[in-house]
Amino acid sequence: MQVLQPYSFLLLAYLLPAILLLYLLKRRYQDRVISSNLLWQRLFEDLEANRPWKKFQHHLLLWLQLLVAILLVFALSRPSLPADTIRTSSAIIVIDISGSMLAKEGKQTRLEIARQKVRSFIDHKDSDQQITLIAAGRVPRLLISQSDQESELMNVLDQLQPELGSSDLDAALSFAHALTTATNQSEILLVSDGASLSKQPASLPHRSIQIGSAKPNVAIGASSLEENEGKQELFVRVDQYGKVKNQVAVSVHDLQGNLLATQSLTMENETSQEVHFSQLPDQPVYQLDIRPIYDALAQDNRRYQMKTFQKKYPVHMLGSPSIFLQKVFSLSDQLELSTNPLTSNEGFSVVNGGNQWANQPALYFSTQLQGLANSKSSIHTAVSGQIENTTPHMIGEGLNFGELSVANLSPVRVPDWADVILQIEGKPLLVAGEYQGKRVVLFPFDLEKSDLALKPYFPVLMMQIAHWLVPELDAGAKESVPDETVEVKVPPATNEIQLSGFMQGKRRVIQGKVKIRLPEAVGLLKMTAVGAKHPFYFIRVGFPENESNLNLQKITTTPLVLHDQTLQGKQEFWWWLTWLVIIVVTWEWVVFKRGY
Amino acid sequence: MTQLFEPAFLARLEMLRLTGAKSIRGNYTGERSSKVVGSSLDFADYRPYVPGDDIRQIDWALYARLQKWMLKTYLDEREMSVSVYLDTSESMVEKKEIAVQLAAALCYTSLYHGDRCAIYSVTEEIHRILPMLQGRKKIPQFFSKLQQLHFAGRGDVGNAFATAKGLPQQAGCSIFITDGFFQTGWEKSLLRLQASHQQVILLQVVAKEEREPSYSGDLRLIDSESTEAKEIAISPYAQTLYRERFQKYIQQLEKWCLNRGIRYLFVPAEEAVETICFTLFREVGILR
Repeated sequence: MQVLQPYSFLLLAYLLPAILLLYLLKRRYQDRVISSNLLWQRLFEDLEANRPWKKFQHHLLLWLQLLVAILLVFALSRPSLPADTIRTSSAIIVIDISGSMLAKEGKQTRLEIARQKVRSFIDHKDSDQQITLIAAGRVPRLLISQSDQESELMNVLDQLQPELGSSDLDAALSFAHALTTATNQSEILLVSDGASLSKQPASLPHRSIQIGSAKPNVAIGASSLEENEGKQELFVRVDQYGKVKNQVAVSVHDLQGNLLATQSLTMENETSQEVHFSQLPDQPVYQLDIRPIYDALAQDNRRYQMKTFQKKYPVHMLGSPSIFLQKVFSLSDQLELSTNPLTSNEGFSVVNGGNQWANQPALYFSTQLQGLANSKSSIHTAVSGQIENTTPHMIGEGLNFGELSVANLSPVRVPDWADVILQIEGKPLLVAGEYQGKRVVLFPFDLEKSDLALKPYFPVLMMQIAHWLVPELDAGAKESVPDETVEVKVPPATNEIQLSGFMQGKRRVIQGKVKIRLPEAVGLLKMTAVGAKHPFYFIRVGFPENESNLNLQKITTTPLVLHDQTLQGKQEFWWWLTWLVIIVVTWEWVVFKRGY
Repeated sequence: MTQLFEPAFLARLEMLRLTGAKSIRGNYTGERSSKVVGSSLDFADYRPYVPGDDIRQIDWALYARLQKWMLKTYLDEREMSVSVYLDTSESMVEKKEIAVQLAAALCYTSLYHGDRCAIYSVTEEIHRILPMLQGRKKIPQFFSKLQQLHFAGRGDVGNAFATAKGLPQQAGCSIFITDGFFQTGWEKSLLRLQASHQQVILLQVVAKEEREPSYSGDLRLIDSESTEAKEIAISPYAQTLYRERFQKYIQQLEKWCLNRGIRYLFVPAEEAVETICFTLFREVGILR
């Protein structure tokens, strides 16, 4: 406890003797006639009550008045206790909302405790003190700026949600320091657990309020799937943080919730153990769960392992052999050049020359393709110029085409189902569309009679065409993080997809793709073409591995030199003393009215 | 008479009489047994015959056995002189009603049973209100005088009994009704009464406020008799001390009286006169 005005105690040196003196000199006696004061006189003599100090000994009213004087002087000295209050007229509070803040501390999460701390700051602030709130998530976010309205601040605080990722404390603190330049003097407070902090931030806070305590936590660190003689083998790495001996049950389920396998582990301090599940039935996705005895964070106890090994799709080369095309499509691990006709719709054909349609999705380099070649105008023209990207399409996405020279560009009659993706000098150069459930890409010229194959973007362009022709190349799975936008190519003839898992709803397909903004959640998102039975795509959103480590690290602070010494982060309690004075004075009045 | 007591009370009082610790040595014949040999029916002793004795008193049966002339003597019956001293100083104002009633009750029982009775008021001096009188016819006079008593002035027991003026001339019983707040000289006064062949009874009448004062705070306590003031801060603690001091004072007074053969009775002023007469007086043997 400190007093802000210690010189007030000098008043006691005057007040207390003054009260005593007044009692000695100016006592007001009431006359009372009694039959005999003989015994009182003898009592007086016994007690030596005529001596001043003896008079005071049992005088309640005097003691009450002395107490009031002491309390008043104490209140005037402005006593204060160290308190969680902001010390400057304006403060910036940076709140860590990373995944580790979801760890349980008793019945509350660390984020809830952090909210309470900040609420306490808001409650105890003066009416003219301003608070800026910054959420330190993956990117720093300004929640509210320089507000002195408690209700506004409380509302913002109530709406604060955690992010299932790592927080960029450094960026958040730099942001806070940048904001302080706008104000005269602001205290920067960091409310964080300090967990998973790889290094001290470059910009230091003035005060760090550390939330929580070191808690044991067990997480699924990694997993992988391998195929061995037609059976799946699953490897799971389980990590333990915290010094405790733990029992962990690891189980594997399929998407329908059927238990496929389970194992039990005993884990010592700060160790990782690998669990091997063999002979698992073939499933597109495996759900891995752990159930530790001691565990502070539940979000990292589940992981989805998807089949990631690639299937090879055949590429049937037709027409004139082209070394460029053969080389390009042989670069991909997912494609396999084939000279045999395709027996199913899997894969695609590359038709170099000729006028015949293939039975599968196909890439054509042809000047005479039936139905597309303009029969009325069969004059091939030589063009050379800048390629224009006429229609945004995934085939040409991200490519800088530049100039192209074509010796025999054939005029094309563009059907309704096709779009002109690229053109040169106003003439279609690349036409793509979907016809009778098959995707078709046409270059209306001979590859050998152009310099297209020599362009740096040629391999990328060919691969993008392959991925558009066979969306299954992209099918399977993808790993992402919360709050990220993902783009997924959908199978042909799909106009709408159904989402299930941690996100529900339908999405329209635009140009063979859907864009999805992932929510702030971890788990598995399944994407199914409307009308189809099985999902064609899985997105796994995992909990960041580094956030599973809940061990606390002290965050260094930098001192704040206060210009105004009256604001020292202390809570004054002179008003409580004032209330006490009022109570004592009331008591004194009662004593006075009672006579003693 | 009816102003002081109810007839029923007097009827009950008539059944009691004032007792003395030792035999009475009165001057006149009365109804009370005396040490003096006299003419009552109570046998006292034998004594040899001397010429001049009444030969009717010779015990002839004894002569037949012993061949000696012996006379039978009998105790005489005398009246008792009762002196009632009533403290009429200012301090007794609050308690005057009960004090007068007690004095009246004691006079009544004495006169009713043939004793002689006198009343004195005690302040700084002793004033005789009524001289020694005898007979039931005098009772209204006693009651009237007692009711007319004026309680005022300063009391000084030491000075009052300093002269023989206020002391009884005849042996008997002296009853002193007072509040007992004596400054000085009270011991000598009581001893003087004893020395006057008096069986002394001290009745200390004290009001509740005097025993357990309820007043508190910064007070200037003014003595009702001396008007002497004492400034005092009376706290609950001081009140407790006062009560203890009062008890101690009473005990000292009682012990002193007991050691000197003086009968002492503490009488709470708020107590009913019936309770005092028929319970307290009988318990200590003042009335039987």
